[in-house]
Amino acid sequence: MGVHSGEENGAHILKMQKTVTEFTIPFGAQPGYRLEYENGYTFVFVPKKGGVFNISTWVKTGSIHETDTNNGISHFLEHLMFKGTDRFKVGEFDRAMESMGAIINAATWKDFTFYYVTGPKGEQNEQFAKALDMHADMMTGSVLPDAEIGPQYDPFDPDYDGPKRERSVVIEEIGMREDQPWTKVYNAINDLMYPVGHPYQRDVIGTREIIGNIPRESIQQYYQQWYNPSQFVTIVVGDFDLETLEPDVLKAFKVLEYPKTQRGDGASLDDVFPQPSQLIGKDAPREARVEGEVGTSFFMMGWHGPQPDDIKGNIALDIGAQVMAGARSSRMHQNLVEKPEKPKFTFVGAGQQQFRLGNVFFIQGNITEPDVDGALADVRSELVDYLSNNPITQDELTRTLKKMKAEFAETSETASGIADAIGESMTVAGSMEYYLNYLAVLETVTLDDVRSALLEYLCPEKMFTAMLLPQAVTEASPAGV
Amino acid sequence: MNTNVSTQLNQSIQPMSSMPFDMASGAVASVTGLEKIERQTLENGMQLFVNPFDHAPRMSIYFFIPGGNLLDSVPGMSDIVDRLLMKGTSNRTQEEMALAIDQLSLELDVDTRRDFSMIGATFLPEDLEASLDIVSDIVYNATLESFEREKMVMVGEIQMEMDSPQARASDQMIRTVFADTLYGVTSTVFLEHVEKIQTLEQLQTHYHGVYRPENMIVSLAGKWPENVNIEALLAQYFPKKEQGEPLHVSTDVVKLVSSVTIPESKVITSPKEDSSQLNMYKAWLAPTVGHKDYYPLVVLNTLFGGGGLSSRLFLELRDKQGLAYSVRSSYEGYRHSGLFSIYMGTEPSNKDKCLQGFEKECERLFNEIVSDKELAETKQNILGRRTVFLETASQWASYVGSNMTLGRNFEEMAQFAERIQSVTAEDIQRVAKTYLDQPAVVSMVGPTEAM
Repeated sequence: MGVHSGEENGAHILKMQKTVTEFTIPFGAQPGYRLEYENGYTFVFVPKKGGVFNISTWVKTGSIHETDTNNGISHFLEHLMFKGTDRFKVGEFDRAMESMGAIINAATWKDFTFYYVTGPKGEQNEQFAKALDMHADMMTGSVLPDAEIGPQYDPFDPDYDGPKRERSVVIEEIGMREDQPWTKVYNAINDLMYPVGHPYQRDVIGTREIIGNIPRESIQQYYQQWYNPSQFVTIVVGDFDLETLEPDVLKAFKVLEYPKTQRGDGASLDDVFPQPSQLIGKDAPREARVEGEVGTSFFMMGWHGPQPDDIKGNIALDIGAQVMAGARSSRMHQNLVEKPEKPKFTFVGAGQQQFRLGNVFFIQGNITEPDVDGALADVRSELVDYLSNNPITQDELTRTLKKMKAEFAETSETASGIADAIGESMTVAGSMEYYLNYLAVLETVTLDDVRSALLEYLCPEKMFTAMLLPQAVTEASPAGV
Repeated sequence: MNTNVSTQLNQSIQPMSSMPFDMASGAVASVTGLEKIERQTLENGMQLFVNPFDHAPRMSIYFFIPGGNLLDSVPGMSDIVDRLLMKGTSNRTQEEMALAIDQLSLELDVDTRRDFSMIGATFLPEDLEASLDIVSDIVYNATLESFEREKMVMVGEIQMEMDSPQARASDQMIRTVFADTLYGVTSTVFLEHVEKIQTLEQLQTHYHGVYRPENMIVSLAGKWPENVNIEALLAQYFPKKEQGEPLHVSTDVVKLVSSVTIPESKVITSPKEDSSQLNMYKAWLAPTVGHKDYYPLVVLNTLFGGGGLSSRLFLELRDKQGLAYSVRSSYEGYRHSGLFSIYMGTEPSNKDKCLQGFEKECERLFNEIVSDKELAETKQNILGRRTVFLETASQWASYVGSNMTLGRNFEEMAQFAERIQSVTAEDIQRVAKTYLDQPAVVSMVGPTEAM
């Protein structure tokens, strides 16, 4: 990996310092380049053969930068970004992209919001050129028209008969999520795991009250604060060359028009919200039970994990999760689902989610047995056995390494897989190195590393549990009958 | 351009009984990648399609077997046999099988649909032989012994699945449209018949009747090691099967599924009182995958509600009226029938507005001819999107394999673009009137008072 500074590539058009870093992605054939400009804008290019491109822009904001009064604004704005610019009125972007067969979408999560186009690049790259132009225009010039947002209204008023626009679409999305059993359990455990007022405690999508009432001015202000090239990471994957790409990208995103001072996205957040695990008091509730019209029970057990840039800690827990409940041959899948004559579980899984302010580790599953507490005790005793009496073996480690290698191969098969991995690594783990070095560090992880990481993070006394249970049995609706 | 397929082969492939064929002039250029595919029939009866390319790190082999749920002696028989394939063989216990699969990091995609069953295997090229060994073991030696236990697990999983209101609405729609036929085998239909699966012999008859090399259409794609003779490996790992007799879809079954009608419109509801949304499907019968109206309906579906953010239903019901987050249409052609449906999840009080919206958009299809611009854009959407969805080895292998299994010939697959391009605005209006101006089934799951 070579690092050099200066203005070597495309120096004639640049008035801004940049750092160019060459890298090779896992299973990548040709080197890619990361270009970091003085004002904070980052452009990553990964060459990939084939006719498909992906262009994505990751914005370093999400519900992490929200408050009790504007919760959901990042996601609402994400919807409104598709509502036109000065150059292209509402619908033109969607139609132009989809009429060349491209897939367009966006997603909002706690630490990031991202927008992408995946499509066929065209014989002369003409379709890619159009996508770059329109995507960059949307990112930098969305006009958020009042008529598309729709008037403010009381979402609980059954008599409201005024116009319904995107505001109502988001309220419908809230309703859709409320009907998903897993969302209910996730929200319940998430609520326990962070103190009141912590940005991670809020649901990313926000509430009906806030979305129904938030004025356009607030959204506009939020857009101006966070959506400028200094907060963007743009990723292009496809069969192109950097020399022609870089000037086009800089021009499309108007990168050079942004002053150097806009760099950074408020690192002070990390001071305001140190390790979430330390913010939860010893006496704070650690278990939540919610009821619903379900026929089976859903559970999640959660712990706070390592910092996202602690690559070795992350990998150790990823391996730990795979061996615990991540694969067909994993401990809990075999002992709780496959082997019992009368299994209480339809499935049990485990995994880690990465967050800027600290990861979380979850075990989750679905229980068909009415004695939910007994079933959860089985999970806990499997866990204790794994942590203490029968720690991970060399065989388990070896096959998990292979599995993770194959997962990287899978990621590298598609332009969108590569772009997503890079975008998440840069916005959550703070740099591309997490993604680039993962496989190399993986090879060095020992049995002791995995065991001590599991012991460090998955203490029984630090565990949170949330359950979604069937309402009184007589009321539960039998499945589909 | 007239391409002789055999001249473009990866030279490491030495066909045993190669049947190169010419594709129609001009067809090849329109479908990037198809020109490299070679077709042959092996001595064990497998029909083999190979599509080597370098830009994917893994390779994929899909084994397709025509028949699918239409071969079920009890509704859902295929589904339980699929599950049991990986639950132990005479060589490996369930646990050893799980270990073997995980040691290779073999991605196995085992599924049965209305018209076919499939086993898809995706792996790193260095594991080709070890992966074939596993697939061969599950094709020849599955014991199926743990079926009573598997029934119990499946019942639990279906209960969990039905805790999602959308899944329930979809299940209810399909079992209503294709009531009492093997195209209507859904999760809840399986629940009702599961106790009729009583003996190991029932399962073995199905297993040995379906999973036989002479029934298989085998589709390979991706990158494989040099100097590997794929045909010889397939012959070695998939010899003639001695057990059982091949199963074929009976003419009675075909007659039954092809004669399904919806004589009058009906609304089927299922209560879920704590639901925030009303989940709603509206479904019509539609033509088969081989019907002349298949391509016009593919175009119609894309412009109507299948094409993404710019489709009509999305623009009208979501963007302009704010009635839903999810709204879309779908068209699936099967071998002997087909299904066209609209889905929407909405606040319960919006029900009437949504149903009126569906009707208004259908009326527009019946009464207004689609503009040249919208038609051209829709066609480009379909053709471009296909490029996007044919990026990986497994996408290619399953695409070619499923097309062949659904009874398309290779020439038709190669001419996909021409067939889409030849659809006219008049065709769209005609098929809309033919299929959507007909009785339909509406399936709803949500609070009782809203339905």
